Amino acid sequence: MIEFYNVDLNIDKKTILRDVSFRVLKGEFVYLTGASGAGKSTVLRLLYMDLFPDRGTVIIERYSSAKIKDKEIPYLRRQLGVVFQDFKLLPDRNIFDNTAFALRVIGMPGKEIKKRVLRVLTDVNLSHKRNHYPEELSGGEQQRAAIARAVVNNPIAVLADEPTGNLDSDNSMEIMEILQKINQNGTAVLMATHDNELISAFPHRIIEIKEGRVGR
Amino acid sequence: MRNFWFSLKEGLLGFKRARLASIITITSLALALLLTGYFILFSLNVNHWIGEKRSQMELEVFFENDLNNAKAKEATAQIQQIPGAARVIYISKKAAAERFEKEFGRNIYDILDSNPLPPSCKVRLKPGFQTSAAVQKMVLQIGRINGVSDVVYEKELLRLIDYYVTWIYIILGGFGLILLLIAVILLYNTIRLTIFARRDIIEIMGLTGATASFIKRPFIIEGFLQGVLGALAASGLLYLSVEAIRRLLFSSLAMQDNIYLILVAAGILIGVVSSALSLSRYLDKI
Ligand SMILES: Nc1ncnc2c1ncn2[C@@H]1O[C@H](COP(=O)(O)OP(=O)(O)OP(=O)(O)O)[C@@H](O)[C@H]1O
Ligand SMILES: [Mg+2]
Repeated sequence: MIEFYNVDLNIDKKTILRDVSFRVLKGEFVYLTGASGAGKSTVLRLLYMDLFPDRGTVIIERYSSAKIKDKEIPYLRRQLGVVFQDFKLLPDRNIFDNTAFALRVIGMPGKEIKKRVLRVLTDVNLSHKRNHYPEELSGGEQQRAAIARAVVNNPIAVLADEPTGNLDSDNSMEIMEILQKINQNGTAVLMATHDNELISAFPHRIIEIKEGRVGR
Repeated sequence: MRNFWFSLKEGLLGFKRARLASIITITSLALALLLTGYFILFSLNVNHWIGEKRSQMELEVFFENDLNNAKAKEATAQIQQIPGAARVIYISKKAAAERFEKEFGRNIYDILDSNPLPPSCKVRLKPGFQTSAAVQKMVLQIGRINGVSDVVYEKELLRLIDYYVTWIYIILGGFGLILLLIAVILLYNTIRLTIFARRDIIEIMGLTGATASFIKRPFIIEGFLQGVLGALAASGLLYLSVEAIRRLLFSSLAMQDNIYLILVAAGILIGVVSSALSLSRYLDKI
């Protein structure tokens, strides 16, 4: 479903990734680990095609980095839910509208949007804060809202880049439990982290990046 | 269609969400357009004034003193045939004497034995024949008519108008162009900054699977509305200014209603084009 084939990536003549190959299966939960600067975020950016490999191919379902057209990128991204360390909520609208945005881009009818948004906000235990603006929420709540937005359109995979990086351990646990639940419902999760405690508390397969290569 | 309503709503909400930026944009647009409006108004009136001066221009044709009335009238009819001649008014010897009396309060026969005033006619000029070159040509043609002794007109004034008009138009045009350029650059930058301030939002929208056009539309609608509002404010102020000038300074101030239309069109154009151009920088990746 998600496949890297011999991917090389250079930024400004610096090699960031070299000959990286791996795959993530449907419904799998996989950690992406490595030291700071190892290239975890870069791997995720290649997946949502914010970057393109210099050599090799990235494949997500029926989209290939070698063949995708610029116009198709939004459609690829609708198949993925992305979550970041800094939440990346839209500061100019409330939590309901933030979550609903992922459905408005696909032109879903308002009634259906309302139903779906309220359901996922309930799943992440935020429906009572739906009329609040991001700045009025705690970090943990903001991250739960970001996850709600990531999954509201039933993506095939959630890509999470250190989703617990800005949170204390209680909030981190809560986020992990939500991601586990999402995964149990059949959505693949690829999560970049260097938090070994979390990994041992919620053990899953690990892909480690070291000096731009994937160790085995 | 559903997308369109969402975009429209988002465009309107954009006002509320970026209230200060919107107010700044609309105000600077209104001021720039008002200034442009004043400038157009000024140019219009200069043009109007020049046109008026030119159209007041007339040739005075004097016939030979001993030309009889019938011959003079015949010559007048010939003058009427010359291209460029508008209304031609014949003034007989008698009429000239009456005019003299009216102007100087004394009968000419009280001073002199005979009437020394020759028959004459006044020739108004058709538009397009109110320049030095055209007038000189007409003067030559009139001079060739039998019985005409002299043609008099305000040669100097006409020459001055012709000379300065070119400069006036060049200066007005150049100044207008510079004004327009400044307005466009100023507004483009204002709008660019308001969009720059929301670049994170644009990026996040892109990550969420929004197409470039979906992201663009609300911003374009916002730019359109800012253009309309700025132009309406400018038009309102211009209208009030025109009324005030007419009441307090010159009642004959020239104004054309299509200036308001020009302002609204310019406002919309600036708003939409600036938004679209500023956005393209952030959207070329999606
Ligand atoms: N835009 C960029 N320009 C230049 N170098 C970059 C850019 N983005 C990333 N890099 C480099 O690529 C390497 C990998 O960066 P990346 O952000 O993927 O690391 P990471 O594993 O996510 O690190 P962290 O754990 O700190 O988030 C780093 O050496 C970084 O300096
Ligand atoms: Mg990173």
